[in-house]
Amino acid sequence: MAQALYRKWRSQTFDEVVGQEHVVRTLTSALAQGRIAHAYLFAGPRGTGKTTMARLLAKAVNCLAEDGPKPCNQCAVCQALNEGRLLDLIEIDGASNRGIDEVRTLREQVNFSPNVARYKVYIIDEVHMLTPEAFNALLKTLEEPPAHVIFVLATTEVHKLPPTIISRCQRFDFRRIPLDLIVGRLRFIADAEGIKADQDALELIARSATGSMRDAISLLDQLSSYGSDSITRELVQAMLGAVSVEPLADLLDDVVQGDLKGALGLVAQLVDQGLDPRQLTAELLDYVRDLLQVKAGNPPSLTAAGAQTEARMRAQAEALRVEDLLRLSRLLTQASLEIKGNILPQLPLELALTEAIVKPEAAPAPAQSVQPAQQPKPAPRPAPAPAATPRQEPKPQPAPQEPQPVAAQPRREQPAAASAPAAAPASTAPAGEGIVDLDAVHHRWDEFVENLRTRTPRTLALSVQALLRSGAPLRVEGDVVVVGFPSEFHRHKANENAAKALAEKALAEALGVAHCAIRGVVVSPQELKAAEAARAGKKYAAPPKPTPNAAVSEATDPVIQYATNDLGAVAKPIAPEKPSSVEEETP
Amino acid sequence: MFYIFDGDDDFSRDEALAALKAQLGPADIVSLNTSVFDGASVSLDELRHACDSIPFFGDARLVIVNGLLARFHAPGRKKAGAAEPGEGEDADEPASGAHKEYRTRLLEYLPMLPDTTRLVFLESVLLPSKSPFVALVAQHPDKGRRQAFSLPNPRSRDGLGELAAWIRTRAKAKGARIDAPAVDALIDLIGNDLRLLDSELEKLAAYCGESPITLADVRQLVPLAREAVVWDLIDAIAQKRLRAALDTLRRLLNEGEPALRIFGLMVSEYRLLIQARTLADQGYTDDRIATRLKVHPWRLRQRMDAARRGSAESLKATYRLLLQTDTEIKTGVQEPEAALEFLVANLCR
Repeated sequence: MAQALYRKWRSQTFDEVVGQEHVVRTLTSALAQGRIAHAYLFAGPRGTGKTTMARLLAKAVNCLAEDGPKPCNQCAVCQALNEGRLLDLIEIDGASNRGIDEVRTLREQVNFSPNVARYKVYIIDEVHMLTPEAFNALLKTLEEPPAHVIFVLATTEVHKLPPTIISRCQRFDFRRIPLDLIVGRLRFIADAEGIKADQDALELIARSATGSMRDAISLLDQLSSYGSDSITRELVQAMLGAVSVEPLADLLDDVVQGDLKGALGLVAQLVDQGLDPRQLTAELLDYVRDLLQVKAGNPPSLTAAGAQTEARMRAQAEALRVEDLLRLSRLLTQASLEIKGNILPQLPLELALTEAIVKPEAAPAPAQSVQPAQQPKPAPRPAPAPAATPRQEPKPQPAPQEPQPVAAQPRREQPAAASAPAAAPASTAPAGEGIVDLDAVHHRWDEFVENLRTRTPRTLALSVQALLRSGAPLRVEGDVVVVGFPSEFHRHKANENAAKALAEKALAEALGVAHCAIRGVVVSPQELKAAEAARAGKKYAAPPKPTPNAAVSEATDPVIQYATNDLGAVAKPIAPEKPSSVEEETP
Repeated sequence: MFYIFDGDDDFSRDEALAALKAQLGPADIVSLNTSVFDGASVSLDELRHACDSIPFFGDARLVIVNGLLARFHAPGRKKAGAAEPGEGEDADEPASGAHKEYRTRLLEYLPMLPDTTRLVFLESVLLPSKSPFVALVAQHPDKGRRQAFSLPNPRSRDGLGELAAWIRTRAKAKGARIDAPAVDALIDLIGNDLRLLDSELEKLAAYCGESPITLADVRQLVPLAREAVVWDLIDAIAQKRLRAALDTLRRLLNEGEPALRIFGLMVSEYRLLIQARTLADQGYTDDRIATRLKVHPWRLRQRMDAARRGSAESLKATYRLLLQTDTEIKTGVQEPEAALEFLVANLCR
């Protein structure tokens, strides 16, 4: 029977060990200086080289070579060990020898001198499986081991070891092997074995191995015995049952472009090809996860996708916001949960994609984090009606940005009250001098805050300035400018009479109106940031024309303009009921 | 000769014992002539028998007794739980009549030890200064020797200095140099566990060779340093640095840290934040919060800024998010690693 590739190609020298540079360097220099500990603990995930390293260590301490790197793999001891017949290397499987009796036997044998080698080396694999009694018995030996014995404990779950054991060992943590190193090693083995393999096939193998060299080599072994001339990406995918990355990228493109038809068509096509919808959902989720990394500025390290797909991912990450990705992940997670036991297994996925495409902008509800403003309103307002006009709804991103495909779908469902009297918007606010426009506020805000320093009394003016710098205008209600502050402290300070009067006067002057009021509310940092961003977007836009009343301004509102002109939306009046996202205040 | 090695620093004590053994000759001969007794059960006759024997092949007999002398100072029925070394008043009162006799006879016997015998008393607590055995050593400087080993306390300023000096000396003995940040990091991570410190230094010395040991080396090699990396992760989240947070998370995962353990550490950090915030809102000072929550003040100080920054409501929302993630991982809805990444991204918003 042929030997498994991963055993055949187990590293025989320290130089061949891949991806554990910190362990190799420490061990080789300790060996060179003759400073050998009596007990080592090798911890780390499977397939990262723990047993390999333990055997190398056993070989190196016993190697007979006078000089040159150890192990030499030439001398009698090295060869005996390589052939698995060195009596002084005792490998114990901790999982099946876990009781106190086995450890007692071990303790008796430990005291005998080695047969041929310098040191007896005990390798206890999966040492975390020992029983507590066995650990105690082992501890006695670890505390005072005979000089001719070296213990190497290897485990994948170091947290299951008692601290007393850990503290008696020199501990090394093995890490997952990076993708490129696994690919390099696979390439080396494939070449040496005469296996033809495509580079992207090897990358896919390495990816599926998640840092475990043994898994990767085993998979290569399986694939090589498949009987085909060369290992291709398709073959690996077939064996792993994996979805190739292109359809996933296509699906995400559809989501980005809001192409519901394309997305559903693609899902149907993939399912028709025999793909398990659950697997597809999982892979899609994985893809989204990778997009998140790309969005954050990291390379998509999980995907051995090639440059072309990587470029696509970058474009998609560009088009989507982190919120969109998170929402997508939530939808897909939910879908994968619902697939179990569903009569139509692909339905949850289709619904998730539909929801992602049709309602991409799930309005984050700012009202939730707005804390009630306890201060009475500074200026009595005629009616609550103005709060209901679409223009005054707090929008996280009111400024028209570059067309975002995700955001592009017009909202199809208008509130049910769309048939409300068309007169409503016209009566939103009394025409007159008191009307303040949010665009104007945005436009003038910096200037206004900056000019505060010229006001008197100076100390008060400066403190008001500092306060307002930490806040941002959120919206306008009649002639009241609502300013968001990060904390109750700020809000309270801003609502103090003197400060308020000073700020209001300055703001009225800056805006060129006779009177305006400022009301502070506390908002979450996210909202504050959104408001800041909105303002920054406005600052460089052309100053809005003065607007005599709200009905006119609705038509000139850039968001509405954009929606009607570019997206084909129809502006409809809505009933003056209180939108959920507007602040709680009821007069 | 008899020796009293007492104190809580078992690492240095073991080293002193090893040094003594090395003086007595080749290891195999010494081991032939060594008897070890457990102080809780050994009788005086057994002990005398071992001590009065003539060495076999070697020059000296080594008799080691673990924890006998502390037994004489154990709390009597009158005063339970007061075996502290400082309780000198109690030291003269043996627990019972039998004990008293044992102690008296032992005190009489010790000066008459044969010259070829080295009797070593290993005690895991410091003997009270009024102990008659300590006095006996003072009376017979040629017959007895006492060496006290106390661990430096890393919570006190003096202890910190002592510990830092110990680390430097130790590194030097291993032929390595170590810079100040690395020393601080080792103390932060390991504290006064000298055995662990020694083993880590051994590793670091081999790794660094000629060049000095730096903070980066400590982070690379010392396993406990990963807990500190989780703090980096929380910091990155607190500062909403998505990229740094995801980077750190991926690094932790690649270094083999189980996702659930990272998650557990994150939960305990946020739990601490909420607790600290609640107490701070009730008007507790930082120091009192640290005492109440039983955390190290420096760890709390690192966290208090973050605790104060967010609103109580947002901390609660975070906690709910953690719970949701936990449920999703444990009911198999999400892969742990994916769940963690999405969680971190969510928290960074």
